[in-house]
Amino acid sequence: MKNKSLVINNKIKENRIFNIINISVLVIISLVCFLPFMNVISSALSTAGFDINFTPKGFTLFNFKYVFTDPGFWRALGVSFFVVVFGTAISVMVMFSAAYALSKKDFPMRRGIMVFFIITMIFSGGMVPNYIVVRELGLTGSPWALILPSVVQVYNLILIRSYLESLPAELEESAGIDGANSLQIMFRVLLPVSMPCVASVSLFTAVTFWNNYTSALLYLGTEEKWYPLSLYILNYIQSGADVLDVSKEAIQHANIESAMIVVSIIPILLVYPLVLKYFTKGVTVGAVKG
Amino acid sequence: MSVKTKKMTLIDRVKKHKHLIPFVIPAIIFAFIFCYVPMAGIVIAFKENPNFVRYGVFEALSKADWTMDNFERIFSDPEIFNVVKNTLIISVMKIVILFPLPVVLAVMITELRSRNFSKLVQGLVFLPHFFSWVVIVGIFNSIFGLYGPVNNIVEALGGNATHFMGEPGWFRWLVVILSGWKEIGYSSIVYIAAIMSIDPSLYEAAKIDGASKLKQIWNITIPSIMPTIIVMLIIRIGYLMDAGFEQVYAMLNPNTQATGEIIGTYVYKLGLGYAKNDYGLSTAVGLFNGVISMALILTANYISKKKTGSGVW
Repeated sequence: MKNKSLVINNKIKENRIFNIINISVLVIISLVCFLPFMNVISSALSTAGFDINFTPKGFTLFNFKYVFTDPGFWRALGVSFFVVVFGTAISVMVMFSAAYALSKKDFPMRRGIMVFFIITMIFSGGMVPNYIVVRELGLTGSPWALILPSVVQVYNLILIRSYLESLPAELEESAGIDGANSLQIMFRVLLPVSMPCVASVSLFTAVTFWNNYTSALLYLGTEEKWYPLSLYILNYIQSGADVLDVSKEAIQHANIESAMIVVSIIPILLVYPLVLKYFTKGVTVGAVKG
Repeated sequence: MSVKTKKMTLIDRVKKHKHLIPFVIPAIIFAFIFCYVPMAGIVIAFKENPNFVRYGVFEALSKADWTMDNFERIFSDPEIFNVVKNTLIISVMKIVILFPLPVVLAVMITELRSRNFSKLVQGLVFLPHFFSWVVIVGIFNSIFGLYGPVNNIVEALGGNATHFMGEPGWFRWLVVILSGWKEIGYSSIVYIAAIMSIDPSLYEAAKIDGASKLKQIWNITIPSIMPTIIVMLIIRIGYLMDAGFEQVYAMLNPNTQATGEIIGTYVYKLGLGYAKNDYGLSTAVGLFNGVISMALILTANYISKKKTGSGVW
């Protein structure tokens, strides 16, 4: 009897040690995630100078002032907003309407059409052929080059389609009896009912458009006036790449770079609580049955 | 009782869904123009450097001679060999070092008792995934920069400051570190979901048997999520040829090309970058990469579906 309680005591002790170690390691991991942000914010608030260790050195708003008085930055911000708003709207609408049709089990050539889309996920012509096509369409040097080539998001199509398939068929039938046509059914019945799915897909698509710089890199060439924020900042970073340069301008460059980064992540931080909310609903990464 | 309906012919189906056909057309058009038309552009790989800068597509293509030189160069050019080598090394490093970590993180997070603390940790570790590579590289420029905290620690310990981001020997390690920082948290989601769906009675039984936490993890949690781990690993290996263009392009500088140039950045440089508009070779390298990737992904998906019943599609 005594022995047994000793064993249980040991067990409790063991579990307590496990919990303490587990929590400590997770605190460290969280800090590792968090400190780089602290560092970049500190750098953005620092007067030009050396040695920033997670806390600002001096305090100045000069770097932010510089960023907000730079017309190129505002322009790039505008392009990014344009791309996010129109890119997300067009992509999600096109994918939703395709998913609506393909959610019908006896839609003609349903399997073939799905294969047609899935092939685009696993094979592409490559950068040069893509570029040539975009150029022939007259889109190079236009902000539409940042949107139209990315409209087809097959993963979203699959997610929306499986959501629509899970809805009860009566939903549509009752609307059909009321004499609504397919377009009305889609907008008045299916879209509102699918809001949780559409919202999470839109959110992820918007973040993808906001972060993407490859399209701009490939299709805009030297047409800098249409650079989205991501590429604008990358250019700024790379223009100061000569890190052995220790002049005051070079150091200031790093602080301004930090300020740009801080400003550019604000929109992401604003939508992040929503993203977290939709994790449980929308994202089932990996195993999607076809 | 049930009368088996005759299988509908294609025409019946078209008739039944004729109102819905226009709904799928826009997506098909977009996919056709931006994915399938470029596939025809693969002929560029078999042409002797067509001059697209000067002529239109068709004129440039008809003016250029047919050739297999571009493919011969892939196998003879030491620069291309080096690029393929870098791609594979970076990719394998990422898989070996980073693949297990999200599993560990997921186990740790799900062992937390406090819901609030668990939410806080999740909120922090998922966040970097949603930032662009430009932002991540910018953030780590200041961390690993000459005057950043890492070098300050190195100097405090008596070492010499190193410009890590511009050091060829450090480049691949930094690729792995940055990639880990960005993606480990987010990659753990799928395992967290898998662990949450384990039947709690298994743990109850283990507790009655007096199994310690570590034993429970080892004997219940890990075996239960093994199928998920295997699917994720197979799929990850399928993407072996992709060392991460957006990341590496944003990190690369002239000093680090020897160890850091990967297939993606090389194809870009060759065809569209500052190099020389060598469209033929660029397309050929891209095609070479694309065919191997496709084979790997298809194989991975096939194995995954066969062994575990689930794949990417």
